[in-house]
Amino acid sequence: MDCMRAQELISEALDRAPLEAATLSEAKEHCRECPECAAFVRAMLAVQRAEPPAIPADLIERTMSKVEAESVRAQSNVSRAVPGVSTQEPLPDDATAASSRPARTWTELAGRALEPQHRRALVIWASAAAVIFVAAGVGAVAGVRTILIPQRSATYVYEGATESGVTDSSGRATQQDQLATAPSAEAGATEPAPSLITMDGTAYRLTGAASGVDATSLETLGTTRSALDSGGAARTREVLGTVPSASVYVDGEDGLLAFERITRTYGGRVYVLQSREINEFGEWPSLPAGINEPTSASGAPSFEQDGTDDFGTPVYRLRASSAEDGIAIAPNPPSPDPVAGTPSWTWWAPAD
Amino acid sequence: MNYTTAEDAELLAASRQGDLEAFEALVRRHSGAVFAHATRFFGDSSAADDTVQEVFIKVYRGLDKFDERSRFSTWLYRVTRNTCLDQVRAGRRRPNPVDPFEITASMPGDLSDEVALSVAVEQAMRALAPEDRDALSAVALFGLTYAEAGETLGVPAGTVKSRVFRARRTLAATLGISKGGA
Repeated sequence: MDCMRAQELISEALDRAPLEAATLSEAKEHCRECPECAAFVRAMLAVQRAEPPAIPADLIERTMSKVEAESVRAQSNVSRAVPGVSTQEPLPDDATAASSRPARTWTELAGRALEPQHRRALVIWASAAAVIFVAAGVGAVAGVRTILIPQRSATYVYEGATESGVTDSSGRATQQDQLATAPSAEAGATEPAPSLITMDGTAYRLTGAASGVDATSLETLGTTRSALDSGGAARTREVLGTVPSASVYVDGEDGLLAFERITRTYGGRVYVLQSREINEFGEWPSLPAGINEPTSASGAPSFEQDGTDDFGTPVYRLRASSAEDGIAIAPNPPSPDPVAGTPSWTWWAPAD
Repeated sequence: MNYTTAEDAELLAASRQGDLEAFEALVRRHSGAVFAHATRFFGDSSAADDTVQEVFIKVYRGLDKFDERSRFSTWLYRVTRNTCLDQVRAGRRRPNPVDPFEITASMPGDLSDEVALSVAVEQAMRALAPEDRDALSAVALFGLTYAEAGETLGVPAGTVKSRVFRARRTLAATLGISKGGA
């Protein structure tokens, strides 16, 4: 057996690949006698012995805090969207086992409050109360919104922008974000609408005020025609940035705003959201010129399904074309899709 | 359910029913692999910290969509890899540049010390070609088979096997152990 083959077999054995016992024995025997291969085995043992990077002590707790917040938010959305849907939540099968640890979901809390025969009644009651609460909240917040914010046809931002702390120097955007994503603010809306601009057909999402960016280090990459969130008429603005960079900057009414490309991954490739010109924040992306809107939910006649992405979202390609040329996503993809809630088809070009 | 010994599939099923303790068990079990992959990808533990949180939030949001045709670890690896790549593509982060020659020159001499060994191995990991490191990460950190890794990376299983082997030979050479150390 030569050295390369012996080392290959040792490597495969480390990966728990099925090997014939006799072949592996032969490789081991070779490594015992051959100094070079013995060194390789020593190196592999050392690598296995080495501790991988240690995770920070509180990382799991911080991660779970975010997950719990997400869980509460999701529960809140479910109650809001479909009255009575909470009754479909499975109840704990074994209340005794469940009670041995802290309750961590609303369903679980409800389940523990009463004996099993009463739980369903409690959940139905809670759902009805939630519907009434949400209805009252919608009225109240809508009223407050009318007073606080100049209304446009759609004044929202993408969820991701809110999470990243979108704000401008006056705090106006923050206020809009909070209202747009408050649990009762848009009971009828599936997802908040975006704060987007377009440059050369590529859509960019607002990520926040570009604090700390040295504007003198940026060069003009192109232009966008947008009113941003001014409520006025769209005008042509310079788009600044550095090459190569996926982040760009636009001078807003109160300072420099940062934007980033919206990407998704499919089949090991990264794709970038494309759109016709978007003239103000709150306008949804649409299919670029030259790509016809399908007339059926199956994508026909423009698209045909190519597969599904990691989250099970169907991915389409142009008919008689390949996903390498670009992909399409049907309207209203659910969260956590990067364009969750977009009411029309979207088109994604391969990233360069 | 014993959260420590339960299979991933059991924890997944419980997580789908809203059992956050089951989900936490998955996080505890797999966060090390996600953190190690991201640390080796970015060369920066703070970026890895953010990535772990982002990955598990994505996994939590996607629980209902995971169809279990593949193992949880395969899906987790895919989400982790894509999350790292997406951050770069979106321009949010950039992997710290690596100079393999500099890393080789700065290797600690005495690898019998456990701490020095871990530092050296991590430095050597950073010096690997990205496609080799990806393959090694899938197989060695996430426990994927060559076929599972190949499906995720979009290459044949044999290519994964070759990349993993090449990664290991490079590691051995970078660590200098093939010259008789450790």
